[in-house]
Amino acid sequence: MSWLLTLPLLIPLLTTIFVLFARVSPKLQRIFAFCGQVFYLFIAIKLFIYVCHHGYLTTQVGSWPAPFGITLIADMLSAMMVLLTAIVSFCVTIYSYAEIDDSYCHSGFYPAYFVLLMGLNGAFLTGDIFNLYVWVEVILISSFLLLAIGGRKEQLVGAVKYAVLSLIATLILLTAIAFLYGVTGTLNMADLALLVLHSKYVGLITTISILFIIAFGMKAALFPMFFWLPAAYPNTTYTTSSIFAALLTKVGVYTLIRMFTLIFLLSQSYTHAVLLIIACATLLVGILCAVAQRELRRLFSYNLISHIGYMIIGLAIFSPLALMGSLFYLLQHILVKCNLFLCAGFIGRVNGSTEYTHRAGLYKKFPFFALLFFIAAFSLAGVPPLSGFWPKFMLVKASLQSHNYTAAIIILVVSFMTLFVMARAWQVMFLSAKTDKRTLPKMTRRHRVIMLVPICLLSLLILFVGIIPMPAVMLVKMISQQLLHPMQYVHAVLRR
Amino acid sequence: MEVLLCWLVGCLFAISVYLLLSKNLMRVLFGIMLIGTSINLLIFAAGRLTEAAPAFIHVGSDEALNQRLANALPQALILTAIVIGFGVVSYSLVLITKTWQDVGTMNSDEMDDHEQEICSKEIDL
Repeated sequence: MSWLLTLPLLIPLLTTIFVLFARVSPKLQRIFAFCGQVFYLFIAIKLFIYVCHHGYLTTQVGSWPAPFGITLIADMLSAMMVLLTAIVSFCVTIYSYAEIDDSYCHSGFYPAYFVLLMGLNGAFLTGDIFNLYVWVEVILISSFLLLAIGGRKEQLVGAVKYAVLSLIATLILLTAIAFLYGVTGTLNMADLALLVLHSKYVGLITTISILFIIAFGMKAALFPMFFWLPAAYPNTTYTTSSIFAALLTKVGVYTLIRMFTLIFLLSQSYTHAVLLIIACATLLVGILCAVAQRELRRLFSYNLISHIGYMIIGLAIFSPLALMGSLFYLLQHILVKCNLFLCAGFIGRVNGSTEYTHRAGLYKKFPFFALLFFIAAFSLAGVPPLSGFWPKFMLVKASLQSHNYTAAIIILVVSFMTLFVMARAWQVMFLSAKTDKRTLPKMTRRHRVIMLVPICLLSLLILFVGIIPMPAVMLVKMISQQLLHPMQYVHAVLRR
Repeated sequence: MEVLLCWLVGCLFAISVYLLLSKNLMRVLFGIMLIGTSINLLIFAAGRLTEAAPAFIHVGSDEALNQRLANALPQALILTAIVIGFGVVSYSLVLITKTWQDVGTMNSDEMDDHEQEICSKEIDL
């Protein structure tokens, strides 16, 4: 069954090749993109079901035995992330048919998009730390392309800031990998877990783990390192900002969870205290910046930064319930953020702009869309019974159980401020009357349906996860049990 | 000998960080190139400097087990890092050139002001 591990990497690559051959015909590009996306979703579902039954799925690339060769391993966290990537990219691909017109297709939007998907799958499925760096670079370069396609001035300025800061992040990651290789002599994550556990250089390895926090924290947009995100995300096309918001920062969160549950288990009192402080700072600073925003996508970007703090606070507290809360938050946040950015795209197309000064009054014209936006926005705020409530409850309970009272207070305060910010966005965009009387280009019915279908799909998933949380809670409990027993991972890689 | 290499890497890091903190985008790009090179040297030093033969074994010979062979893994890592750095720097050059042509400046402070202008222009509509 090892082809289940390589197909999530091969299918986007083959789709890229086919789309590049069809460069002259945008219609053929869209057909290839849709077919590739459907195959990829099918394979992601198969991989997820297999890993839920068997626990781990490993293979060695080129049949070089571990720990010398590159391992591809899917444990339940990786399989969940690949499945979420498939669902979200399926929705964004459908949405892109309404926004990515022929000139974008000629500039190479779809090849860059599928290379991004290949890089994401590679980062989630690899078991080798230098291979992780290579896949992170693949994600980086394809995200450069996607950000700059279109070539408007504000896009270029945002792309320059994103490029410089992300490059520095990957260079710090390479430095940390070089130091870790110098201390332990291996690159395989399972082998690193064993060697770090029995290592005598405790202080050195703790310092290297802080370097990893900085590198992956820049990727995940944690506290002092998040300034690339609001520079880049609000200025690009709606499709690109949706796929980025859903997935790029989650790569940083996934790698932090992987490093700190598998490899860096020494001196947890120090590293987890650092993570706790950074997470609390991210929560507070992100939401305070969000309160000041007057434009929808900039608001959602700062909300995204703030909510990354929820996922890292669960990792920092490191009890089983806290990890469960963190993983459930990761699951529902990917769906909710993608949905919110797609909704912002719909509002931008209908209203002409997403600024608060151009009030939209959309509740009268599009009541069904208003309902979908309501589900996504108030799920982000954590209103029961929507999907944002359960992980916040788990995180507050876990932080109270482990006597982190400051963390619990910060979580509750930030939830309240998120509710305020989302309620104001709802009020401005939907309930207040339309102010400007500009005539806008008419949106065809076909485009409106294409844009509403993915928003509907994601809203249905969010409703399902919110109103019937038991399947998601069971899944997250199994993942958390797997993460807290890293020797099972090591056994799965090194004994076979 | 490794001490010399470590001092070199440290000095190059310091120069790169100084360049990365400057306002002119071309100097920031030079800083990125230089820090990439110094990290390659760091990977080299992490693999331990030894006097050893190149890591080739001829088909059917046993003598490889007797002599010291160089560590091939850091060489592979450095090659990968060089290639990735090359791709990334070539993209950054094109991006900065296009930004200079469209926005008109290479000074990141002026680009910030420009971004404010663009945003406030949209509000005036």
